Amino acid sequence: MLFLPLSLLQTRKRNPVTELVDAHTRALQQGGPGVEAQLAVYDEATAAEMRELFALAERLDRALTPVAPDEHFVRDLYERLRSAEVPAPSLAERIRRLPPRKQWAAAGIGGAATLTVTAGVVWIAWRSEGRLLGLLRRRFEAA
Amino acid sequence: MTGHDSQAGRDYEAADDAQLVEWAKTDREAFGVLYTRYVEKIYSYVYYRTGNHHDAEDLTSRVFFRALAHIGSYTDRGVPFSAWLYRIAHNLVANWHRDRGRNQVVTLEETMISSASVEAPELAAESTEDRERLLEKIRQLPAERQQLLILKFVERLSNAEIGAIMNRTEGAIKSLYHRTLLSLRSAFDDGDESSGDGPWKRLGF
Repeated sequence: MLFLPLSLLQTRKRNPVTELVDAHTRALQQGGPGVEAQLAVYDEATAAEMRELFALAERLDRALTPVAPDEHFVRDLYERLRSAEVPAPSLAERIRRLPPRKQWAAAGIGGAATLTVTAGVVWIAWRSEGRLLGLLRRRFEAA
Repeated sequence: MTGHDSQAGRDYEAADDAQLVEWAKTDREAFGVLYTRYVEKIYSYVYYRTGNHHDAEDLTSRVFFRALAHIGSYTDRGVPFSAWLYRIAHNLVANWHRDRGRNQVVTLEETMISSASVEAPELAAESTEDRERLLEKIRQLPAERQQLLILKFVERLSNAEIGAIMNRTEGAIKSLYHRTLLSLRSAFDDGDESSGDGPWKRLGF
């Protein structure tokens, strides 16, 4: 229901000339009935312009033909792909491939690990600093 | 890729693309079947975008190696596997053009020699010059219009399939096609004005 107004708008915006040019190309490629008869509803200038576009589409259809690759190339690439080593994905890539819920869990674990390491470093620094301050205090007192 | 990581009991040839893609994440044999299905289409697409066989072979190889490297992370979002491959090809071709800063013109001789389709000799003889001129004009179009024409005429894809590749609606594809024909016609008109020929004479109309 949400998309109804948009689809109506798109229907209204449809250009009959665009539709007819597309229908002509489809008929050309699929061997269906032509659309020449539908030109009768247009004035002469429009019909003439559309005939020019139809003719251009026919030229394109004849000119743009599939190009076959060299058989040796195809076989060689097949063999290279067969024996190729696919590099193992990085940790970041592996996390990116996880479903969203698991990504959140991984982010939580990563965050917790970072916090733990940071807390450990701070604690060690605090203790070291305490010892250092104690040592300095004792030296000053002795002096 | 026979026998390489293949799984017993899998009917590769009968499987659809979606099934093959799932298998190909851990099974190189399945990837080989996908390769066989699409190598000619991708090659043809790249050939028309680059204009020569050497670069077409190089870029086709890169498309499939990239697909192999990333197929493990491929997720089916309702877009066909072929669209994914064409997008890889499109991006690599775009990089190729950016790196080289050139747009080569496909010579008609090359196209006709290697064309997979068989045409009547009299038709080929009659249209050689016209086809060459037409291909030249196509090469001068913006990349997305070239892409559309190749997908529509060479690959014979439907508007829906082209839309999936180009990330547009079917209506937008129809509209772009119409505009592409109009700009191609204008390109011929401009060229003909300077040469003194009739507007459509050079196209053979």
